Amino acid sequence: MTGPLHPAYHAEPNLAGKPADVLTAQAWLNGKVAAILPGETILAFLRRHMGPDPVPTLCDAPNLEPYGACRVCSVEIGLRKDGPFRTVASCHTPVTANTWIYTDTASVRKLRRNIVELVLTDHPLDCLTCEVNGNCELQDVAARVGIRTVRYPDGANHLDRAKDLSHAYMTTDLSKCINCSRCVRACDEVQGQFVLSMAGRGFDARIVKGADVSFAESDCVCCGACAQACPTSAISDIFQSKAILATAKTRTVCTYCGVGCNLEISTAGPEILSIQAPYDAEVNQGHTCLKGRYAFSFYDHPDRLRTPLLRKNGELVPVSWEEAYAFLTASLKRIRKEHGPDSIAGISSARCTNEENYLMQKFLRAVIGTNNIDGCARVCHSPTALGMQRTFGTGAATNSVEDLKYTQCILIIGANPTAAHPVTGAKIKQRVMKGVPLIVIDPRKTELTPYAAHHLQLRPGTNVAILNMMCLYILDEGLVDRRFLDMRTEGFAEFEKSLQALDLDQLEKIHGVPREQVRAAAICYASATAAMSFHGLGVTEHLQGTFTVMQIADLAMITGNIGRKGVGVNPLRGQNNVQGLADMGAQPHQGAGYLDVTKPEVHAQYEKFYGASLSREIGYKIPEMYDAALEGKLKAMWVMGEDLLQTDPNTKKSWQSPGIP
Amino acid sequence: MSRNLSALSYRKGLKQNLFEELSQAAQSTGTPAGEDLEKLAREFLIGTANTFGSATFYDFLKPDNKGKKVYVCNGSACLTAGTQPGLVRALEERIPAESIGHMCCLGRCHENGAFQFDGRNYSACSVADLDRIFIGRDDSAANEPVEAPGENNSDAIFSPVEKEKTIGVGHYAVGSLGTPILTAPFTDVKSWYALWEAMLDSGNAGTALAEVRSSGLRGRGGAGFPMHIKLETCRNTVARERFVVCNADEGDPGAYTDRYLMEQRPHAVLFGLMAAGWMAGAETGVMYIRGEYPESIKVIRQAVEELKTSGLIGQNVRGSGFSFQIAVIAAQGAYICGEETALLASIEGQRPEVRVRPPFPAQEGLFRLPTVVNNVETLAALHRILENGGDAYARTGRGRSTGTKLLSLDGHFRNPGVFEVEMGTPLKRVFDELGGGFRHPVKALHIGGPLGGLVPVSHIDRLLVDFESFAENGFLLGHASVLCIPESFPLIRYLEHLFQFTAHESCGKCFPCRIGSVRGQELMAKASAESGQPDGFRINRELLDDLLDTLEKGSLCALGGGLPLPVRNALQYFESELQLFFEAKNSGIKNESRSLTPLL
Repeated sequence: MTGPLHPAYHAEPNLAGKPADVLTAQAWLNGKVAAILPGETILAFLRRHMGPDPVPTLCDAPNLEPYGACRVCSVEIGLRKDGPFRTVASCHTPVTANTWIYTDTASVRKLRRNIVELVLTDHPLDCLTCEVNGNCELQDVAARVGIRTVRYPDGANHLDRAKDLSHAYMTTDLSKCINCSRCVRACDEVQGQFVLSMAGRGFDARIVKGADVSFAESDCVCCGACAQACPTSAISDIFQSKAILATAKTRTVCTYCGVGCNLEISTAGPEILSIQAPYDAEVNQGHTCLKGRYAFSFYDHPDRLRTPLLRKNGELVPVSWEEAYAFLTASLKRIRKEHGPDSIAGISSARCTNEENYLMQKFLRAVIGTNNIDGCARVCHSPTALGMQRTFGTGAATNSVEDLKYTQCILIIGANPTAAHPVTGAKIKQRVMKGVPLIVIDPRKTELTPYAAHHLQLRPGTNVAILNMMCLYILDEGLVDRRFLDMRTEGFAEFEKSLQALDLDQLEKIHGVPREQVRAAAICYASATAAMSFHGLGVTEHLQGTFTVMQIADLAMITGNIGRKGVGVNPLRGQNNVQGLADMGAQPHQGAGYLDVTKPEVHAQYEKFYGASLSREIGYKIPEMYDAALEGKLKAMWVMGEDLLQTDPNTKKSWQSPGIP
Repeated sequence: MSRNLSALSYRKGLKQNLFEELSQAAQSTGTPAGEDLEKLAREFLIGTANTFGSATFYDFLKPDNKGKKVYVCNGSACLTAGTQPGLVRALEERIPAESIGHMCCLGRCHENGAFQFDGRNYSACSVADLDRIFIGRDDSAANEPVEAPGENNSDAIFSPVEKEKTIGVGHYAVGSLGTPILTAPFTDVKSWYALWEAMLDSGNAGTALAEVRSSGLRGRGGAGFPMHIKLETCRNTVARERFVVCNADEGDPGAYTDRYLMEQRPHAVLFGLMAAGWMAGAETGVMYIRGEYPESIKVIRQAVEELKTSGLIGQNVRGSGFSFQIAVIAAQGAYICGEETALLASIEGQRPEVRVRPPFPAQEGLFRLPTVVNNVETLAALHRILENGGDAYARTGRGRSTGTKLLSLDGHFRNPGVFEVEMGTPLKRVFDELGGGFRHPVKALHIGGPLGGLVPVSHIDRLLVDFESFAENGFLLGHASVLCIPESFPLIRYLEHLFQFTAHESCGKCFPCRIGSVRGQELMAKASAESGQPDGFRINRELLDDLLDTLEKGSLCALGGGLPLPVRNALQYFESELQLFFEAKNSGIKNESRSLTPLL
């Protein structure tokens, strides 16, 4: 099974350990010797030696499989220097050792020109008014192959195809379509949504959405992969993201979920024009979701604050920064003096940068003198951090999302990745559609459950029971990895004993899933050569969250699914810098670098570093802040980048806390 | 061709086959209803775009097919016979014009006037015949071919001279020169499959494979690829499951040899499928039969039932540990499905677009699992090879073209039919001794399907019936169908027909074939239509050469890639007939060309 990345776009492969004959394999590229790599296509070979654009291409795209439709990437190959030669499409033909490859012969130049001439017999040629004028792959290729005339008499064409502007984001103008199928393939191979297809055949084959409905009526999830894939303006978006109106492009990281997609923001002065996903991004390889690509208009929404607001006589009124700072410093100083440093608390944000989070916690600790600093990292995935710290020593995903390429079984517990982490969700879906068995433990039906081999629809809040049952069955079936356990773990004997003390009837009664289903899922997970688990808030936001995470870790350990490619325990974290928030120490019990603030040696080190006297008491966690406020112990909160009422449990209580309007 | 769609279709596999479900949904009206497409999309998790995309690809599933009752053959033989305009006129007097569709070649090239009605194929060249078929529902007019046993038995042959009297009766001659293998008499199921039982009992597929290797058997579908390599590759590819597929989508207009084998020698074909499966380690066989051959589908289905009831296929056959099941799939009208990767995509319910190779089907085929794809005639040869040994088979034929070959001769021969000859037999002997010569003057023969060479009659003497002789002379043996171009038939019309055929059948994936076939058709049509006008359109030879070069070098598969051969043959051998359609040489481009200034 090939991975999602076109081999042509892989960086220079690591050849360490490859047999000598592989290392010395070579072909003749335009008369000169050049090394070839096993399994690479001629186009990948050309790109490694000649740069990113060695021959023109139209149907090739960096994140799609070789397709072989346009044929303009054709080259000539022969077994001898002087031929005879065969013309082959370089994008899908494997490079063979000792062949002679010519990329720019009169014959292939003519072929390319003649193909593009045929394409232009069915193209509007209204380039000057076209949205992608100056950034059109067809235009570039036509210029490159040197077309000056179209010699065919006027014939059948598709120039009268109507535009479809029904959709909130996506636009189509299929008179510009060159039938390269890149949009169809992106919808299939990248997003896995199957909204687009070709319909009909031959000359009249055309792109359709659903059963030839409008874009708006289709099942489109607005990821925009098709628009980005389209080499012309046949599919685009309302932001005209392929137009060359931008004066600058800025590479950044998406501020939505924890996947961490790289984005490229096109701007003209202060205005954001559009967003695209760079192909060379490790995380998202040219893909992103509706949120990352299109949901950016908030940046200058009229509702956004433009000045500080201060509540005066019950009304928030705009004030100057000077007045705001004066109020803040005076109030905090006064409260600290009257009620002590622990009467002040801060909440930091997973949507802010490491620097901002570091300064926020440093301010509370070193300036105010309290450990009352918390953030949403601890709200949502604190059980993950703690559970994984207890079992593995550190609270972060054990593997990268890239490992999905190697896994042979996927277990998802309490998470809905296609909705909450769409790019990771799409990658999971890609693997699952291709036949990698999926186990979903979730009371809900999600987009992924129809693809699942096992869907354990447990009663909410019974994760521990079902995972215990899985562990027990794995034990019963003799599927534990004794070698791994002996070499890498401790305490298995007790664990085994405690498992065996469990009563299957009771467990089944608790979680409500027929035990045979659980057994089948357990066998599926344990017998895979590499199994990878993902979990989300359906695991952590429960009273037994930490124990559930520990159970997930146990499941991985007893089956040896740790420490290799394609395995591991992988929390799907909520926001873009949720990891950094915790790393920087915006937690009431641990400072920067997860060091325990109550330990004398740690405390001394922090005091020395900050040059201030710090508290050794663990600070309030967020829910405790509300309790303290209601009890009158907490007098001031500084909340940075967090919507408390939306986020925290017991909204009514949060609402009633003094200071919250 | 999508990996995801292959895998999703594989979830239900051949038990609940997506393609057959689509076909089923089209049964009542001729095209699947919107709800059916949505339902299948949900069941298979593939999106309505894909069920719609697949359905709209096929002639017999697409929305235009709705309400079609009669399909008139528009294949090459019926075209050059000139029977179809009269047939259509007569049909239109009886049924509404909008209920008349087309099928490209019903394999009745021996008597023409072909059409399909109510799931049966007929030939009719007179009003009386039509009335017998429509009103009398006379089944004797349908296609239940009666074979003429033995060599060239003229008693059973309805010569074209007698045609007017015997119209509508689907008889054609069957004969051979030399020792018949494929046309040898069939005795009975029990004795025929004694070999199968012995093979299973021996449990030694490796030995059998060695016989196929030594037989030198090469694919009869046209490409001539050694069969044993496919079998070995498939067998040696590690996989959870393997398949063997019989390509019975005999789409070449003019070819009806596979139809003969399926209808008259179904057990030769099925034995071949089973033996190939056994040798390749494949436990599932698929007969993919074109929808234009309803009788073939029926006969093969009956034969498969016979195998099941005799316990010759099924689970753990004869306790050998080898299981074999056969699925019979009716195609839905797309010539491209004769291309093996398109055929496999079709079975999966995907749009049958040609896929890039490698990987080859023997490594990654049906549902991306190792699959041997072989033509009907190739499989039919296996019984003799495995019974008498590969060496004995290799002794027949000539050089690297071992064994025998079937040829189908069209109705311009005095004695049209299916004939078996040893490879290497002079073509002229086939025409004279089996075909009985031409009924009327013929100027060229289109041999090997629409993508085969156009052989001028003057070259018949040079050709032997084998792969090498044809290739050396710049032609193609292909599937060895023989179509005559009568002296009176304008070649420009025939070339237009070839381009039109390619344009209609192009899957539309690769740019050269998708657009080039249409532009070629337009050039031919315009030149043909305006040839009478002194300043009418003339084709620029350089432009046509560029187009042919683009099709040949640029096309993804043999459809676009093969079309230039007959066109070039025509240009080479019939220059004088065609020159009035071309600009005078070296005149440069005179046609109006569109300016591209906006690009610059």
